[in-house]
Amino acid sequence: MAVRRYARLYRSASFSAKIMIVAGVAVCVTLVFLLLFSRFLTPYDPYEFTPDRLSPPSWNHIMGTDRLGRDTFSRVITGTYWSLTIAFVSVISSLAVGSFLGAVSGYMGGRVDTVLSLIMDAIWIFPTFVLALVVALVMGPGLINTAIAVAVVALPVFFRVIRSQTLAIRDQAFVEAERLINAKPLYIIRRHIAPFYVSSLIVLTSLRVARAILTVSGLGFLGLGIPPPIPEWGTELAFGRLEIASGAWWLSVFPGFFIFLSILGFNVLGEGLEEILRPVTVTNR
Amino acid sequence: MPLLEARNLEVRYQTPFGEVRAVDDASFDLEEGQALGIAGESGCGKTTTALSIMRLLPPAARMVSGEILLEGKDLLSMDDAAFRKEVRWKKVSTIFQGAMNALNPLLKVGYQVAEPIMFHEGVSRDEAFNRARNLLKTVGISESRADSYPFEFSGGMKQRVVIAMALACNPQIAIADEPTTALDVIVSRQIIDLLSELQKNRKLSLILITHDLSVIAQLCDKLVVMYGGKIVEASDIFAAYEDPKHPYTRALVGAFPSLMGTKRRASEIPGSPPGLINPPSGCRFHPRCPYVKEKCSFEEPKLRKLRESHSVACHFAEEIAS
Amino acid sequence: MLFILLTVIFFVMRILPGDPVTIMVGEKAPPEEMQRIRHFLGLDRPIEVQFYSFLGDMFTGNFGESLVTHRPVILELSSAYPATVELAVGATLMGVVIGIPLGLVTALKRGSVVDHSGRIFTFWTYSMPEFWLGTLLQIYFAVQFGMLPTSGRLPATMDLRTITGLMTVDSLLQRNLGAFVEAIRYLILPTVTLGLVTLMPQVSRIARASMLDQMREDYIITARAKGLPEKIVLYRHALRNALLPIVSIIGLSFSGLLGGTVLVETIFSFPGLGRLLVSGLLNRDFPVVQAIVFMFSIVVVAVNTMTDVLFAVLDPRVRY
Repeated sequence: MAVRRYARLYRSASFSAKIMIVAGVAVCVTLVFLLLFSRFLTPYDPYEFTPDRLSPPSWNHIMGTDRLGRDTFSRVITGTYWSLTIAFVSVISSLAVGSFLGAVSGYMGGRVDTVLSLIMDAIWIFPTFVLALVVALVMGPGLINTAIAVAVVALPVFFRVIRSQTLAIRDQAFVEAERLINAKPLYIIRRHIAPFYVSSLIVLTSLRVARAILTVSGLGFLGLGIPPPIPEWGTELAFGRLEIASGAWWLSVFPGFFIFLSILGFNVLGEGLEEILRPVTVTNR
Repeated sequence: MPLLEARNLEVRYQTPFGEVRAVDDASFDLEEGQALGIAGESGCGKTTTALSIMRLLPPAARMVSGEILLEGKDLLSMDDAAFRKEVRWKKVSTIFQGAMNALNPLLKVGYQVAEPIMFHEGVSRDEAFNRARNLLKTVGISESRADSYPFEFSGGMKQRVVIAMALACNPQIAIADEPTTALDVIVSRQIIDLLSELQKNRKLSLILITHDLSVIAQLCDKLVVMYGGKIVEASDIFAAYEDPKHPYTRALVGAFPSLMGTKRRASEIPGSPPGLINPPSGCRFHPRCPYVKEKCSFEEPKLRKLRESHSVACHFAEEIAS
Repeated sequence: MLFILLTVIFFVMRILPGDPVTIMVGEKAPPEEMQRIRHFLGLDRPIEVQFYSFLGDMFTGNFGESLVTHRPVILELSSAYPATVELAVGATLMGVVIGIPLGLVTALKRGSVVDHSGRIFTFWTYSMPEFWLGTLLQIYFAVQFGMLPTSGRLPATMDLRTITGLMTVDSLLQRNLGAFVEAIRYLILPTVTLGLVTLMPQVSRIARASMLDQMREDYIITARAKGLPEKIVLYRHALRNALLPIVSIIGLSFSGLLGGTVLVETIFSFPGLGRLLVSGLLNRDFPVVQAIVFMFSIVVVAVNTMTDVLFAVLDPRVRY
């Protein structure tokens, strides 16, 4: 029945929203597909050196090769797996932790709320990228640390949204009624407040994944993210830049393009979803 | 000749769900110095009618057909620039809900009243501000408050400001849309008295749009009742309250609790207002009408004259006893 | 707020897993070495002592010495920050000058081709990674056409006496028009990259949404009803109100802008705080990183405060 409701929302959405959703879904599905099947789609082994050094795009190597003869196309496809997975994992964990904290904070109020909100505000107000850099510095480069950095930075958004929704709903009559029957707070949160979150969270997740991809590749670009030889897009872009002087434009353009495309895809998806889900998030119906 | 004549107005809105027939074949007259009340539930088309007189319909709306004649001249066929310069505010002005957002929160009140004076009459800034202060005085706001911002006023005072603003260029007609709705009873009464007084002193013709019949009873000479985008009854004010003919009007009048006379339950009108994308067939009120007969469900009643100055759109108006 | 930020910075730096000393010297270093460095950095003192000393240092501007250059950090900062200031100001100007009109036009011509293309453009720039755009611009403009420079602030041959450190201002103060032109030339690509990607899309979106909200307000209908020319309705009535959320967003987006300077300066070898931060990070130059993070915090808080003040200037309701 929820599916039917969403279908109706889709049908009554504006034309621009429909395009956005379709485009966003198309891009994201393609990316996820690449993510899952990257192993089978790479014509060459991304780590293998070939004698074909620094060659421009050709039929053999669609996106050219780098200084060590590695096929750019294969590396970029493999990069999808890494960049996206980290982005997803970080955002999902951020979502879980941030939402939980937000719900707790909103529901309990008082000291807990004040402290948590203050911390989240501090993180929120700070330049996200710098914060991620600092975390990366302290913890050193590496896979998990990058994920943690990205997750920390995304926390405040989920926290705020869930907290404000909790606050709005907490005082409504039916929740009061439940409280009177002495139901446990967690139960109340889960059964009554949680369903309203779903729409906002879907939208937010998509948008944050886009941001996360940006952060992950940014960190990689600066050499503070996932270490080579893993072909993460940002790191690839950084190495590619070194070859610009020799005219090897393809080493920077293609990885960057994929970063751009994935960010764009998730942004478009998120915005499109927001447009059709707006009646749900606004009226909570 | 009546000052304002509206003939067969038809306005439709484009929405994602279909075309809404907001105003369907509405016609009415306004004589000079008269106060005309347009009553009805929310969404019945009364505000749309008012906006179309001023040619202020939102972009999603379009005027399908109709004429609006001011002193015999068709307002709808005038070109934009001429309409803006000669009719807006100079001949016809609007009084929206001051307690809400009819005043720009970032501009001083005195400026907002003086603004149309400066534009239409090309007088100096000082002169315009002087006149603005006088206008404020007329509506009961001390002149020194002209330098205040809207948020510094109470709801009732803001409504007075909006009225002062409407009078700035001495219009012939003022259209007031729910002027008292957001105000409490006492303040409401003050505003009504103010409007009444202004009407007499300035020979102002008034179109009062509201769902509140008690306000219309105090101010208006004529009443037009709208339902589902159509005019269902038009009469002078006494006939409307003493001998309403249309079932809807009767229900409206009956729904209003009275402090005097015998204690009785206020009656209510069951059901809800019709959606205007696919309005009910035949008479739009028939699903909720206590006197409904078979004919009502397939044949739309036309507005017809029962007596001089009393028209009804109901097949069985004569049979409905008082 | 500043205090909260400082506390958070302090704890983030100290409490997160990962020992900065180990990272600095590597895991195989002899324990005495690590102890020495730990003592040098004051990391072996009790935590409360460290915290107070940290606060004291921050406020007196004693950021210690760079572990790499052994110069006082404050010197490093002061030679770097003017560049970032120029870049940030330029990018903000760019974001505002392009973003606001774009947003307004798309709002007014809602649903038209102009609207759709404007929104697509905004979307596009919003999703664009600044380091990619910068790279593309470098490839295109500099390598291909040699028109615009890709790094630095002035040609190596040109010399300018530094008064404020701001190349544009200094060159004007010394009436050196050639230098002024060059300063601008070197600023163009970084500024465009930064402004177009970080500030412009946000401003444009809010401008559009805000303007659309305005058009629905009663007082706008009243203004039209008064017979005022459309231009006045738009500028004096709608725009003034629409500006309020826009100002808010500029303040809020500023921290994003600051984050962007890090990447943009790195790409264009622009000698500002961002690039200093990156080199500090790569070299594990703890004091430098700490100091720059601190500076950023101050700037962010300052900008937010300024935005609040500006808001009060524009909106009389806030003043009371």
